[in-house]
Order: sequence, then C-alpha cells, then structure tokens
Amino acid sequence: MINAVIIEDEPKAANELKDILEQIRKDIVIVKTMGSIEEASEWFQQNDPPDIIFSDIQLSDGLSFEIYKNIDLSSPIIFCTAFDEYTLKAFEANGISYLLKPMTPAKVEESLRKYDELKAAFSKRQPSANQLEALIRQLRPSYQTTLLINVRDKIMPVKAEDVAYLYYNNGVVSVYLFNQQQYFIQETMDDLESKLNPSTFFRVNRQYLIHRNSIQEIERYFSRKFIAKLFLKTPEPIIVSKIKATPFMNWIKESI
Amino acid sequence: MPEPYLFLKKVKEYIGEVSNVYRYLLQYKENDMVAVEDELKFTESYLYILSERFESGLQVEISIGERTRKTSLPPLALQTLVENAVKHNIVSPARPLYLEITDNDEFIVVRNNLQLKHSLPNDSSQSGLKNIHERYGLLANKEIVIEKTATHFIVKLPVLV
Repeated sequence: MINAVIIEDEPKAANELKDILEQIRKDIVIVKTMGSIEEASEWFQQNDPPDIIFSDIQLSDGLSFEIYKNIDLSSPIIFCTAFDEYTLKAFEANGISYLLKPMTPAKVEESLRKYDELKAAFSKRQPSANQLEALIRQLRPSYQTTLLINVRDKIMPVKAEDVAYLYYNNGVVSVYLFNQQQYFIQETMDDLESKLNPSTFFRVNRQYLIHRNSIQEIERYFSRKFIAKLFLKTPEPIIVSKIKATPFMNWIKESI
Repeated sequence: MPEPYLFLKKVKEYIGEVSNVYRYLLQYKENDMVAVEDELKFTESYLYILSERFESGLQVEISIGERTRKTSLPPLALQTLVENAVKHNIVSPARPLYLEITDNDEFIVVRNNLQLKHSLPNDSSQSGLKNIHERYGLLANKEIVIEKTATHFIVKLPVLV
C-alpha cells in the first residue's frame, strides 16, 4: 500500500484529486488532506513521513515550499498547481513530478508511473534481506563435512566429526576415527587441511592434522614446543612445532 | 458528489456566473466609468466563483444603499479590492476571511479582517491599489483612503456624484 498525503487548500480540488487517485489506483490510501502550511507543518512533525505527497503550491496561508524548507522530509512530492512558474523550486523540494491543473486521470497516472519507476530504481540499490543472506553464504567458505574413502573397490563416506586425526607418513595419509578404525585416503594433507573446518581441525605439524575433541592433554616440551596427547594412541608422539605453538594454544582457547 | 441532476444544475449556474464576469470585462474595459449597480452585479458573480473555490473560507456581506448604487466608479475598482483581499490573506474554512462591502454618504467601504499569508505568489507587483488610486485622481480628482489597523484592512472609494 502507498500512503499518500494531499496538501490542497481548495476543498473541491482536493476531492477531485482524491476521486482520481481512488479511480486509477487501488493501492493508494489517502491518510490525510490538509490545506495550510500551518496545519501541514504540525502534522509532518507529529507523524511518520508518507510514501508520497501530492502538494498544491499556493496554499491558504502562503506557498507550500515553506513546509518543505522548514521540515526535513524524505517523501517524494508530486506538485499540483495551476502555475508553471515554480518548477525550479519544486525540484529543490523533493519534487518528482509537476502536474498542471486541471488534473486528469491520465496526468496523475503518468506521474505515479514515474513514482513507481523511481522507487524501483532506488530500491534495487538496497539489497533485500534474502540477497544479503545469499551474499553472506557466498562469502563464508563452506567446509567439507564428509570425507570419501576408498576401501578396496568401494567408496565409503566418513563424517568429518568422526575423524580423530589424520596422519602422514611415507607418502601415505591415514584417517584415524574416534572409534579406533583406520583407513587410507587419497588426498594430500595440504588439501585436507584446506577442506576441513579450521576451527575443528588443526595442522600441528607436517604429519598431523588433529580434531579438537581428540586432545586429552598438552605437555610442555623443550625449547617452547608442546606435545599433544590424544585420547587415542598415535603412531608417534605429536610434537607441536615452535612456530605452531602459539597459534595452536590460541586455537584451543577459541570457541567454535 | 451530489445527484447528477443537482450537479448539472450547479455546473450551469457556475458557467452562467463565469460568462457574466467575461461579458462585463469585454463590455466595460474601454469605459472610464460604470454604474456602481453594474459593478456590484459583476462583483457578485466574481464572488460566486470565489465562494465555489473557497467554500466556507470566504464570508461576504454586501450592503450598499440605493442612492450609492446610482452613482458611478471606475470599472473593476471594486473587483480589484476583493481580489486583493483574497490574494494577500489566509482564506480557509479554519480561518475564514470576512469581507464587507458597505457605504456611507461619502464612501464605498471595503473592509476585511487582516490575516496575511506568510508568502505571496511571485507575481504580486502591488499594482492593484496604485492603479485604482491613479484612476480616481485622473478621472475625478479624488483620493481613495487606505487604512490598515492591527486587525483590519480597509479601503474607501469616494462616491462620485
């Protein structure tokens, strides 16, 4: 619905415009009709700005520009007047159209079409909530939640959350699950590191990529290194290198 | 909107008054003087049009004696004063303009309550009163009287015998 306000000091002219609007558009609601600067100024200060204003220029107590000069109104205005001498001033005051009286349905329709077009053009620049969400989804990288593992001639899906750690040795990457099972996987450690959610998995060194929940305790080791002890047995101790030590401790502290 | 029949009647009436105004303008534009009676009739037609426009915003009272009606005045003098009153003052149902046209032995008096508009149309050159003033001077060697009080604006046109 379009909320409209009519500013017109002559009752007959106001009625005429109202009739035309109701006749050509079903989606317009005339919320208020006013005839003077005084009345309109007061009303605009106390009410939400309408979607559109139909405004005469010569009102009972002066020129309507005084209203728009004194009140910071964002509503677009369609000026309706019998005089063509105020066009420049009309543009200074949010004027989007200038209707010369006498009014006809065709003229009013034309100016409303312009209103629709401007509205469409301006609202395009403000993305909708849906568009924003889609954009956020796009910007936020999505991580792999399932790994595919070749077991003989079959392919088995394994959920990332079931993976306790990944271990590299002799050119082979092994997947160790929380349920103690072990598989081989074709992908490289670097690939896996980039595909799995970094808030869940951490590459502590060249050989290990470990799940947050697999860590049981961390021991200090010499020269500011750490040893990570897991709930599961590991082929060799997990030594967190000096470079990785601080990021690793920060990662453990950060919540998911 | 009124019944179609009443509406049509109203439109005929309106057109009738508009044609009165035009006929008078065409007839008397070359004349130096015109009977007060005729100017009054014309002014009434003009006021009818204004009343249709302003509805209850314009309240008019006319009381001119028979003797004054037989005298004369420069054409459009009375109408110009009415036009000025409406042009410079607020005319609205919330704040009506009260316009009185009366006479005494010496003057035709046009009086209205003073409620000036905040801003005036661009074309206000203040030539109306000046024009009437000059015509009375040239044609009758008389002065019109203009009075402005805190509440009223009054113009007195000398009765020309």
